[in-house]
Amino acid sequence: MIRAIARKELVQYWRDGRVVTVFGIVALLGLAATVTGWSAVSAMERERRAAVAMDREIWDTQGLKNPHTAAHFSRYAFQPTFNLAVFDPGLTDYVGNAIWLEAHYRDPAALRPVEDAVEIQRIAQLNPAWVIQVFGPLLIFILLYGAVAAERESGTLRQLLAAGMRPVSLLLGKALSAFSLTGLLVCSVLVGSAFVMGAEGIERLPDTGLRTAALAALYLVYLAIFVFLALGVSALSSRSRTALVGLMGVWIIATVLGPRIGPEVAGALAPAPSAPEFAARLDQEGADPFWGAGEEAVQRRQRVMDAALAEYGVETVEALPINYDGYLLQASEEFANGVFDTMYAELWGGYERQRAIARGFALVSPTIAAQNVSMALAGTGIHAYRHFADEAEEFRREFVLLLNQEMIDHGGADGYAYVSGNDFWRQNPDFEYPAPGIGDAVRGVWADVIILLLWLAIAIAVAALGVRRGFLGEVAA
Amino acid sequence: MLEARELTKSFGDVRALQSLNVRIGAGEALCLLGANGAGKTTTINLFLAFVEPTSGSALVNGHDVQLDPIGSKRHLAYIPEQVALYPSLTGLENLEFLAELSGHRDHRTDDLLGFLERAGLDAPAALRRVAGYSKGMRQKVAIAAALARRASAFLLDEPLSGLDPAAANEFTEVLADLRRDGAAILLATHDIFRAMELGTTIGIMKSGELVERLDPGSVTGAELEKIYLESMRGGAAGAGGGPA
Repeated sequence: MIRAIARKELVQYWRDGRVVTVFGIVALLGLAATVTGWSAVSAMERERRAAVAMDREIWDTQGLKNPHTAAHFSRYAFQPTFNLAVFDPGLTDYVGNAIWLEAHYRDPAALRPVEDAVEIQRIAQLNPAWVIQVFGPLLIFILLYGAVAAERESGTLRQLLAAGMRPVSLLLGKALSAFSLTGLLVCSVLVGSAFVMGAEGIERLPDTGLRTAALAALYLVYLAIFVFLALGVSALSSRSRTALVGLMGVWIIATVLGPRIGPEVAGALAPAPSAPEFAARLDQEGADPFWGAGEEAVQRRQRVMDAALAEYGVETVEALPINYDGYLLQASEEFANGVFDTMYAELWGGYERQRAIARGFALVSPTIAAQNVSMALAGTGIHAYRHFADEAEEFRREFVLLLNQEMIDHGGADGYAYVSGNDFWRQNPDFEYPAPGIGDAVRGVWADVIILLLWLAIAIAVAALGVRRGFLGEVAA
Repeated sequence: MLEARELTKSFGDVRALQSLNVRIGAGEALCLLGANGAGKTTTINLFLAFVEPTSGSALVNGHDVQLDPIGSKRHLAYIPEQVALYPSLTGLENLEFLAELSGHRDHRTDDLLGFLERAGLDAPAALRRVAGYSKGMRQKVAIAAALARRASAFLLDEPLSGLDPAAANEFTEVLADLRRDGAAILLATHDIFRAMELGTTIGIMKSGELVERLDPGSVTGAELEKIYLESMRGGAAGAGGGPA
């Protein structure tokens, strides 16, 4: 019975020019978004590869230079734009994919857009994920607003019930037809994206297959929410026009207003520091307490010197078998690292508070939760960026240590006059980004997954209520 | 078989049906006459389990419609005044859908076209979309659906209203054939003469009560009209008739 209803619905959709037109437009949008995504990711990857090569070339040929001066001259850590960014670029365009790796400083420049991480999620852009997130529900509502109400208006519902059809079968048949159409849309967009994701020159994320399957599951759950909501509203509405108006209201709140208002409120309630303000604090708190003229800084430097003298068992700095300037620089580096850890923990904590507030709005907009999970699976969300930033910072510390160590070990009494040459630079490693697996990727979005499942349960409950009240209302009429 | 036992329905203070007792066996047709609001449609709704009776019971082929609403509808056909079909589907596709809905997935296209032809709809018409169908053609699809599902009990709610005389005659003939083949028919109508043609019993309803039961063989059309009109005015002429 369910299959017969679904098949009949599909035939009706096919013969209804409006449905075909809307589906065609959404499919075209998905196709255009996929091509746009592929083009953007390919371009970013080309640029990144060129920049990586240029960065290496400049580093290797910088000539004679003090290693610590070179640490200030320094290098970039580039994050690859991975294949799944074709499907959901998430924050890719806004957080940047390069971090300047400098001594004494954890570069916040690349973090500046991240300070607006929640707010930038408001910005709609044409990408396959966005097409599904926004137009998938619209397509479902257009398909299903009359699912029960129009059958009631035309009189067919009464006849179907007289023929012994179970109300739940009608709902499931209608759900199956709408679900197969929108599922087809999701799968087409994912397959299209997967096809271009495999193109040469685009880096693969670890667990790409698993992530793609998880994305398909995510969007099927997401669309199922709207399918059951539409059926419930249609069953509970006396007229199809009323159902359409109600569903358009749901669509606007869920996909348009919610994803914009939520982050806005989050930004207002838990403001993040501005980029210049944070950069100034980093500079000041990372350097002054060590290099300043204050008593505390003088004592700190004295303790470093005492430790060096004790370590090497000598009485004076001049008697040290190492380059003491390099030793002091590394000590200041380690001091600053502790400061950076504290400050960045505060910063990330602030973002998490924003995200938690914004996530509260997912209770009125499942689109917010779906966006968060989608970005996480595509490796383009805030957690992926944080992973990259942390990896880059770890590399920065190792790299600066390497340079300082060169000065400490080989600089002797030359102090800052010690220089290294291209032979040394060429031995220095590149930043290799180890992208996280799917387990790490979804760790930060479990709450969003639970909210989506809660939404699905609510939508099924609304549809069940529609079966009980809507159909009883019909037959009693 | 259709049977009502002390079937009563009230909507608040309004008594829509009062202690109806009827039994329509195979090959019998009870035609209910009565003004609007007399209780004809309520009776049909009760047989369809669309409303719960206040008391009493309605049975279709022995199944209590409240206790077994799905089972009772397995061999029940319902034809309303306006048969609603899906306009973007052809008559044949509508029939195929309705047959599948009632669990008959085994019909081949030829079988379905045969049912439509028996109901009076030829193949070229059956292959056209229903959007262009007349009321009579829609009713033929409904009859074909009843044939496809091998219905043995028919509930017809004023199906003759709005049909031209030729279509009404054709429709009545098809129903008469079905009755002769053993169908039990409950027909609510305002058309006295079609009721005379089809019915094995004629009932007159007023204010939720079955006030007259007549054998169409025992009265002329003119007499029936007189009895009907008088009963509408308040009296019951009482020509008599066996239990339905």
